[in-house]
Amino acid sequence: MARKPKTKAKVAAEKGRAFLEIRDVSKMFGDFTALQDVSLDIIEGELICFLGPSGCGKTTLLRAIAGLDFQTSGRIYQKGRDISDVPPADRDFGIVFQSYALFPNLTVASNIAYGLVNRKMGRAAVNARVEELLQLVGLEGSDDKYPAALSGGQQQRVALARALATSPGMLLLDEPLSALDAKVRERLRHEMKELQRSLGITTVMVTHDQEEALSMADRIVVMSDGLIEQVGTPMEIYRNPVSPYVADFIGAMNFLHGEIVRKDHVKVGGMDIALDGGAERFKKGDEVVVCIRPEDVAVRDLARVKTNRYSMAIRDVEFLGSFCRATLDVGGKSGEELIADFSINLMRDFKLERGAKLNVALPKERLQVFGSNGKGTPA
Amino acid sequence: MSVADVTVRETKSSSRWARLRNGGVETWALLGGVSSIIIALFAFLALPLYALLKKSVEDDKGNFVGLANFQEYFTSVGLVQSITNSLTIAVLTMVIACALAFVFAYGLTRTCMPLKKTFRAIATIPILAPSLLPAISLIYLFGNQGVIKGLLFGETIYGPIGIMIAMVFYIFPHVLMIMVTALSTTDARLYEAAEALGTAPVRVFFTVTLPGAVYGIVSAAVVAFTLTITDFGVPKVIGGQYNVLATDIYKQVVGQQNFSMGAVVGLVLLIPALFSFVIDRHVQKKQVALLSARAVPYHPKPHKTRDTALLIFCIMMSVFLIGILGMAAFASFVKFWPYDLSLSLVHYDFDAVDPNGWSSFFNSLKMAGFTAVIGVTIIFLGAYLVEKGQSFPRLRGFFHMLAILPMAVPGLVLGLAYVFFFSRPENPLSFLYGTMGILVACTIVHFYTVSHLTMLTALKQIDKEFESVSASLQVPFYKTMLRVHVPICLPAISDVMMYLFVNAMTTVSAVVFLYSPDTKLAAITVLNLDDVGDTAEAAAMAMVIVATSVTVRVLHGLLMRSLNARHSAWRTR
Repeated sequence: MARKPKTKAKVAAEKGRAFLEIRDVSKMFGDFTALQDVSLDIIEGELICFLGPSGCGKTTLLRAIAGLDFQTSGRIYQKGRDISDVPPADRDFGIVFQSYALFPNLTVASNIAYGLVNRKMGRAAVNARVEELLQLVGLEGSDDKYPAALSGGQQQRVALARALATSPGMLLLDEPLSALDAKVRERLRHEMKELQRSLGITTVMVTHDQEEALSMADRIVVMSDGLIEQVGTPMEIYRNPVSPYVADFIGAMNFLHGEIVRKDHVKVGGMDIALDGGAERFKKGDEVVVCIRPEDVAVRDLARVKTNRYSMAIRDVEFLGSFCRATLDVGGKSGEELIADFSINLMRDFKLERGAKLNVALPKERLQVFGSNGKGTPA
Repeated sequence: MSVADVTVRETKSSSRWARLRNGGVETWALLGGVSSIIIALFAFLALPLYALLKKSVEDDKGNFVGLANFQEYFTSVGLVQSITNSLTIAVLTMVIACALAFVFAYGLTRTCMPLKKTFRAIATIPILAPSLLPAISLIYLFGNQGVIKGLLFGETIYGPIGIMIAMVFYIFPHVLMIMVTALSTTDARLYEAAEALGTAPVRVFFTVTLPGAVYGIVSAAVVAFTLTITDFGVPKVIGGQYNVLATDIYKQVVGQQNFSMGAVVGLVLLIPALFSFVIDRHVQKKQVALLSARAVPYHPKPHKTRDTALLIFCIMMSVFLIGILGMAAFASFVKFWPYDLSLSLVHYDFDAVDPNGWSSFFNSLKMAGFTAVIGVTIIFLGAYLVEKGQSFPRLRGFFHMLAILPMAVPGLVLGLAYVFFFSRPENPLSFLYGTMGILVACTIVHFYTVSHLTMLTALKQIDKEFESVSASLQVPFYKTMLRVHVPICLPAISDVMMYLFVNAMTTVSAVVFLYSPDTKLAAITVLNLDDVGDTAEAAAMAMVIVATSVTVRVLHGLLMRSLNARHSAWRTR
């Protein structure tokens, strides 16, 4: 029994593709399925983000990769080596937790050196490495401080330095920025991405913050209810979500409920929307959902536009700082409404305000259509 | 079952085995640690209790006699009377102590009266003394030659009245502690809401204050009941002809050498204790759910009438507590009560009146020291494994259950169970019988639960990811435990050591069957001295115990202060 995985591992190593291979991993907590047959390849050197709401299984998957909570079934290979049943201490990773888990009774230097001391390194070598890491995370001179004397952002950097100290093959980040203030979070996002890129270390980050995922990740894994919904680059996920779930979770999205009236045409309230293909799988009479992002609703230069042009009344305007979010009346009996984001410039140029009427266009190439059952297929 | 199912199951079990084997030293250390503590608790708790159970259905020669002993017990009028007596005393004491402690706690938490810290300190006095002390003191106050005997209007102090007053003194700090917690954990917003709605103060008391504290009150009542019904020292000294269950056991075993009957009474005594234990566990669970993290702490506003009334009450209560201690202290220094009231140290010459004399005091010191050091080590390791262990969840859960159990076993019953279990020559552990070792073991087990829970609370406040971090850095968990958890837990470790030491100094019930002439303890000497009529010497020895407890407390306070100063750099609290 024990030999079998080894041969499998060899095969995987010979293929020499993914850095980390996750194969059909499931995790049960009693009757609750936290992960269901999850398979995923993680490429060497990338920063991959597990994104989803709490309870979607993203942290469970991270902890399975770390070996902190073993999966119920399925296998995990790191560089072709089967690590499914290997305890965390014999895997090769560094980890940063949301709470940072810095040892409060040890100084910054001792925290960073914690994993080094155990490796028969000389005192001088350890000190040199600690200095190097402090410099790397921009905390020179903080050696003798205790964690309690540091700000949240500084503590986070110490945790990062500690995780990187032993030069692990992989870095795991469990909601690393969630405990920080918005401003600090934005700055650290950038710094961490820079650091990851310059070190070229394969990194798995868990987050529920879509902005964080979009700005940092090379690839995003969107998860829900223990399943992977979609894997792709931030742009792919944002531009071409595979399901209304993904579309809704990342960025703002309009969901217009309508009915196929003829090939590539959907009736939503008083609008007849022409589609740019993509609806071949639906037949006449099917109920569908047409999606468009609020920033894709066009107002300028409509003179040449012939399709999907409508006149709408502004029901409400919400001022959001750099832009305004307008609620438009679609017309017809359905009571559907359309959310559109307008720049302040545009608001001024077109004298847009509550009750005003304006012409808008829904560019064909920006539209997506899903079945009303929440999937990309007919109901 | 399909073939696929079988395969899945096989892969699962092979995975489990692979993980166990891959886990290396750490997994085995964890498994070994949990198992050895479970085995220890079996040997020093479960098996002795089983021996007690077995003894109750055997005759003196060890033949099985079924329920004959129980039949004999329940047909003996005198013995059954003890049950009624015990229940009467326990219920009355519970009501009085809870009422007094509630008002006292109300004063400490809900008023602006002065001297709160002083009152709090005074209220802990009884913890420092063996339960024999208030009984001895009451004899000096209300006994045949008592100073204020007239206050009893001809009633005798030797009996239910004496037992109750002494018990109220003895259990007061325990009950008060729970009441203070219950009244402190309240949400100020509720009071602001009630005030905004124009609610009358009396109605606020009955609709907000009392319901908020109700679980605490039930918990306090249960503790009061259990402590009273299982205490042996008080009724022994001041009970007179009034028999209770605790003194019955002692009489059956030590007096009549009727071990089987002693076992039966022990089991009878176990019933109310177990019952209270179950209620308490149930209530504790509910109490947790009552607290919300968003609660705003309550700050009382000055109210002249209320503050004055409670100040007067707390002063009276303090006079009672100090008076009892003061009387014992005074009696121990008086040359010849009540004829020659000049002061001397003649009663402290224990070697003159007792064959063991001062040596019993040094035995106590030794026993308490061992109990504190060995106890805290085992308890810390046990709590650590329960709270921070990463595998074997069922085994750890089982151990936690075992660790809670000692709370339900009265000391007297535990001691008796030890006699039956360890005195048998075929028991490989019988070499412990009659040694200091068995006293230490019994005391650690007796006070295990509270210490275990204190340690768990301290460990729970430590980030649960420390183990994960240290695993990722390839540092074994036990190294992190020593380098991180132990230093962080030092205050709790020190608290538990003090708790164990003071209780080991004052306990009588758990060790009264287990000491030998070489290992006689100070508290036992108090009992013996009182038994033979050397009451002044008994009071003196009790005062020596009090002085020792106070010293340990002061040392503990100083240690905490220096710890705080030294660790102020990283300790934020």
